[in-house]
Amino acid sequence: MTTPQPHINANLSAYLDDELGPAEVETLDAALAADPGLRAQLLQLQSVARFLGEHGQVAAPEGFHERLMERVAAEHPPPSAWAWLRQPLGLRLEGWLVAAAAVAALLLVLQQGPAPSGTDVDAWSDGPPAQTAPAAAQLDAMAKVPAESPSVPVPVTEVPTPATAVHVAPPSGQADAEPAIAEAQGPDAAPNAPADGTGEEADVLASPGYRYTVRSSAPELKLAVLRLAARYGGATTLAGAEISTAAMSGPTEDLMIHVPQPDLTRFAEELQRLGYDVDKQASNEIVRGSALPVQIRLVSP
Amino acid sequence: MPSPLSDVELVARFKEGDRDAYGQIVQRYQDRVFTMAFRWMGDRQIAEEVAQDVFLALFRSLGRFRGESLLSTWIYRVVANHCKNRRMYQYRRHHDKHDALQGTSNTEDAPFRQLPDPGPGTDAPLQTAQAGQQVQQALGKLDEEQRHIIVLRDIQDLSYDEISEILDLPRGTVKSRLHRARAKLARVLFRTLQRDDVL
Repeated sequence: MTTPQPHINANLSAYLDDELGPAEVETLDAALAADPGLRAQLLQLQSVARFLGEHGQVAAPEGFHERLMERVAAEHPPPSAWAWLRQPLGLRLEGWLVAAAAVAALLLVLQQGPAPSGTDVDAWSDGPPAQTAPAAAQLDAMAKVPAESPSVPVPVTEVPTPATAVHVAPPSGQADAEPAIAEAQGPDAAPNAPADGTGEEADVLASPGYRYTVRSSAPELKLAVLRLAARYGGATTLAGAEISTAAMSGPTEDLMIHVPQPDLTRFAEELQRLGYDVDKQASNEIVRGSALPVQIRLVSP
Repeated sequence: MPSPLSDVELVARFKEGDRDAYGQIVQRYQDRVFTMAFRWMGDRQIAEEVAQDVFLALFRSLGRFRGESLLSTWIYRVVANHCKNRRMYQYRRHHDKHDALQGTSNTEDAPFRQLPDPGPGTDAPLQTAQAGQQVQQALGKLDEEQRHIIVLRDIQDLSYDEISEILDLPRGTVKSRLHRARAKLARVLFRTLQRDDVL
């Protein structure tokens, strides 16, 4: 057996991998023909490569895909049709939507006359604008109850009817004709009704609804969440019943609101910032509308 | 049955807002990404964390992927960077702890784990879990740089040019390191595998 030249030896792996040029292959072929030791070395390298190839693969752990998709959904809620619309136009349509919603809310206020005494609709104007005067006024009144005494029931003098409860203006500026909130019958009600009643609108937006479960034994839990819900979605019902108190009436209560698509992320962030234990689940149902149905389940163990 | 979409088609669909396309890309690459992370890092838990982070990063940046290289090459690059960052983090943590607690050892943070027994069934698709362990034990004997290259070549079946692009190394360096890695593995493996009549 002869000792192969170092450069020939170093080319053995590349020879195996078919990564040599024709001249190098020719040289190595000649060396291999003349040197059984070199051939043995080549076989060893080949065995190593084959062994690794056969036994080196590892399958991703069970449930890997599902866990990943949950993380993706949590970090990146499904894009709305607005995103699709925005990209080709290169425009921020959210601003238009917010403005349209504000105009619609203003028109509604003008139609219904001044807010009940003791309420201050303007107090909410720095938040997302998509809410109605009655809902905002009602919840504003509730929000004025000091957090230190949340068990004191807050009388609501004027409870809006479901037909006027949630009112998120579509981009066209027309008011909704059929608020979906009235159709939600409890925690498992499928949020699949259009938030508007217009077929045209329904073709524009499509997205799953969401459920947030908020757990806390803090006495101000309900009041804090209601404040937020009022700012974003004009919440007016709890578990299908009208809101009349800021105190939890049981260990679990469900709040249904509709949040305008562009505000959803900000709403979720603010909900998280309340500091409670918050879980988010996307509904399997795809909903069409300018505002997404959002169910907030309050759990006070 | 329709033929599966190519990577290019899936990326195009994702850019159009089709999230299912992303799911298909994950499905297509999850085993390869996990394998690379596991064979480089030597720990299943860390490998899963890395693989999840890689795919999350992919989701965030896939919209900006311009197709100048293969999607697979791009994904492998992301895995390589995540593994290197993770290794750096482990290394710093290990050293910080070592400074703080002199005389204590912490195998959790060792730069490369020498294959704790992963238990039965952890290399499910392999014919034998034992062979999978032998692979990992042998890889643990290599320098990190050699290990990176041999995993990409012999386990992931990538060409020298792809490896060169992923690791940002000259082709000649890939070639020489790969040869040294195989020669060393041959010495390590043949002692045990010939005994076990595996090779």
